[in-house]
Amino acid sequence: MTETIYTAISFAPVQGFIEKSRKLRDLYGASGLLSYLAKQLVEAKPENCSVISPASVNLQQGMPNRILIRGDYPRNLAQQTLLQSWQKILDDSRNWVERRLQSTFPPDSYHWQEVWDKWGRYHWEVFWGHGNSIQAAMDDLETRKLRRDWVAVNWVGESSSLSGVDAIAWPGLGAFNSDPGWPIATAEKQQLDSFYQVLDKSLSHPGTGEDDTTGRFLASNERLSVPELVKRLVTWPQLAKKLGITELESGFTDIHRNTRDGKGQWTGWFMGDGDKVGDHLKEIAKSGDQAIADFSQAMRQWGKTFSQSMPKQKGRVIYAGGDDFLGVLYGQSPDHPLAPKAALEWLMGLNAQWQQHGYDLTVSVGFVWVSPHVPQRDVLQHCRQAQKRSKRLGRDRVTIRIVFNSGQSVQWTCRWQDLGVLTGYCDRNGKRWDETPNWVHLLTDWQHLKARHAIPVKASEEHIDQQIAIEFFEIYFPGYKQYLLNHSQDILGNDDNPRAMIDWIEGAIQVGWYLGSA
Amino acid sequence: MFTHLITISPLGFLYGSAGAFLTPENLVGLAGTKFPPDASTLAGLIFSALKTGHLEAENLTQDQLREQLFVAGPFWANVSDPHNFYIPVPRHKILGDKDTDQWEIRNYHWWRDETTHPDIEADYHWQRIDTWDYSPDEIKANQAAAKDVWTHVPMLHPSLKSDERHVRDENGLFLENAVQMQPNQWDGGYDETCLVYLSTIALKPGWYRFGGESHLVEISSHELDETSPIVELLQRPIEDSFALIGPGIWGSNHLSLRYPRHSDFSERRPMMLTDRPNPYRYRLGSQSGEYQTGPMRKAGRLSRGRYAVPTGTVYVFKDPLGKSWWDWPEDWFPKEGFPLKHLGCNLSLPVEISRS
Repeated sequence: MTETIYTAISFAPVQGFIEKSRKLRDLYGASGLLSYLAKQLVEAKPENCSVISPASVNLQQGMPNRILIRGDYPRNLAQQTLLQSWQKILDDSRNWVERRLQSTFPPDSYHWQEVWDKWGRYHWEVFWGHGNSIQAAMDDLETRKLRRDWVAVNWVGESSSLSGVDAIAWPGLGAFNSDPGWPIATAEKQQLDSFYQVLDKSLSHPGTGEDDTTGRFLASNERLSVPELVKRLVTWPQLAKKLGITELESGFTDIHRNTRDGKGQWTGWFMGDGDKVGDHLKEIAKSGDQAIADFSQAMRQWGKTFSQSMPKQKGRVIYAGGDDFLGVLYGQSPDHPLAPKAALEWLMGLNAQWQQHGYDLTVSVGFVWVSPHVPQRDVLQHCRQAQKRSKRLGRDRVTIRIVFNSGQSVQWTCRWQDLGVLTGYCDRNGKRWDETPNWVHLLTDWQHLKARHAIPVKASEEHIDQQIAIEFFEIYFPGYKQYLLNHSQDILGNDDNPRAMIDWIEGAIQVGWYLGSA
Repeated sequence: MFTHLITISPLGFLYGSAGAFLTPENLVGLAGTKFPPDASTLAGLIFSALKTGHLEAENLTQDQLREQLFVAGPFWANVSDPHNFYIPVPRHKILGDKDTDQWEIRNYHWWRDETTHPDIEADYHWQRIDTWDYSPDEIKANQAAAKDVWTHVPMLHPSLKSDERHVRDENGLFLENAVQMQPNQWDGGYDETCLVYLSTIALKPGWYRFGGESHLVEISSHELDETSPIVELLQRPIEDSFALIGPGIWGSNHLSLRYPRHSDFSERRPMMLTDRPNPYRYRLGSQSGEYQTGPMRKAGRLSRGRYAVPTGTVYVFKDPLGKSWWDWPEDWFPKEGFPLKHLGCNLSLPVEISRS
């Protein structure tokens, strides 16, 4: 008997690939592509291998990009499979655009194939690990990942804030490769602009009559790089079908976060993942391959249920695969925005929903309630930062961050069981959570105390006394003084500076005021 | 060899974004923040100082300057002690708030004891140059580790009509992500901080407009003599392991790579501790003077867009190089326009990695 070999495979970039998105549609495109590529990797496994994780290979959506195989899945095969699948998507997308626009842009006007081919070869890093146990294979992968494996495509000429740092994709890309120094000539610029106008016209949203900038499939003022154009295109129903990528649900519409007349709606974005999943897997692995497969199955089932349980008028789960998820809460239109209180109440139920997968695993979440004009890319970065803060302060927590148009924000990190503290608010007239209490009472009193320096304002003040803050909290949140005192260590987690309790109380007050008001 | 330290102290704010502009529709812009400015920004300033007679070396021609100018950075220092400036921590040293750790090589693999340091994160990314050879514990014991000493501050600016001192009717205000240098705090108190670059050419002391948005800064040049410990460290030959303290630009004009494919460099691919790449692009000869934004902005020549290996990256390879960065041949560097070696790309210092 030869000993059993395990292979672990993963690829990158994942976070970056998703976060560069401009619109909700791109998020789906990016997440769909990642799942599609993971599926191709799993399906290409050699005969004598079996898949331990991800379970349920027949469901493409939410396919995690970390793959565990029992058997020897050669590194070269993994790399080839990924790159060929990606190259095929690029080829098909490019051909599709070229054919669709052939009346305005005849075949000889395209000089961009070489650039697409380069993106095909160099966009992904593939990581691979090998070992005689699941743990050894995963460790081997982590060790190899330390040196990364990227080759990056340089660019010349125009890039835009919308294309990210990379060059804008247009037919002439690649024709003028000689001199990086100067902006492209006027005639070329016109061709670039006209390309996007023609593409926009050709892709006007079928049937919905959306003409608002944010609602179009492609707005004529958008300038995208090759990978971002692909993310967008793979959400086009016909192309998705042709490629075999999971299509968007019928009647998908982008969210109208802001409109041309200056109206807009606040939206809530949540990003989360299980705590210490690596350690958890190590533990489960001791019980054998089947235990890991069961765990993977449970997580995927959870993701599926979680996505389906979200009412479409209220929000969407963008992906939930393995142990991590991303989603958004919104109203139907800027005229019917989502009430912040409804968002907060949904969030209060999230942890219970998470627990339904049945494993003893906690979750850390970043929740960002954000003003209409903050670009989506920034929203996702705020989500990531908020989630990181939850992890850093001790996990099993949610960080609520409220981000304003100016880019300023306030935040509050609390354990899941403390989120309910907000419902304990009682205003001066004795009104409680269900009776629409007036949060202004709380906020103005707090600000008065700060203005009079009864509450220390600066972190550097020498004697920081939390007592007044805690007494104050007791007035508006009756019964919570003793709770805060008894559990302060657990509540504050790793935040061990002397100001932490005051900051926590202030966070609760601000978040309560913004989200608790109906 | 570098002969001067150039210190840059902002008078008020510095600029925080390289190009990614904020408009009334896009008032925030986390994605566009980039600070501190690359060494190329200083190179641009030195070229324009040649024209206005602000170089200490007089009678240089443009061609001579092109040949002689080397700059590197960005680094930063306490104003009171510019010679002891802060440089990026190499990635094998992990300096956390509560704990420290170190990567070693065991059996040709990176290794560290994850059972004793399960949760450690690198919280400090700068260390004082005089502690380059110290262990992570010694660095912390000497209070020589630091976090970034700048914060981003949103600032509202008026955009004036070109012929009147009135704000434009449309889009008359825009928000900029300005950057404020913060004091460096330590147990004994705190110090004002400034940016530091290495250079072979000195600028006359004075106030200059610096960076893409031309804020005023105070600049002074400090001589480095041959016995300076900095010069000694920079001249120390790199044997089989080093860490980047400047952005790492390798590859061809088409592709950016993680290490040079050059047989003199190393026959085998190096072991590395690194991270995802950062975009790298520079503009030389941008026009200073009247402040302009958007498509109206008169810009200088923009380089090819490349990707840089992040600073702190550690390389370990089989064959010793026996050369300090200064002596590396220019054909290890990508070739185009202003030579990238002159912009301090791939600036590296030798490191010791424990092996067993």
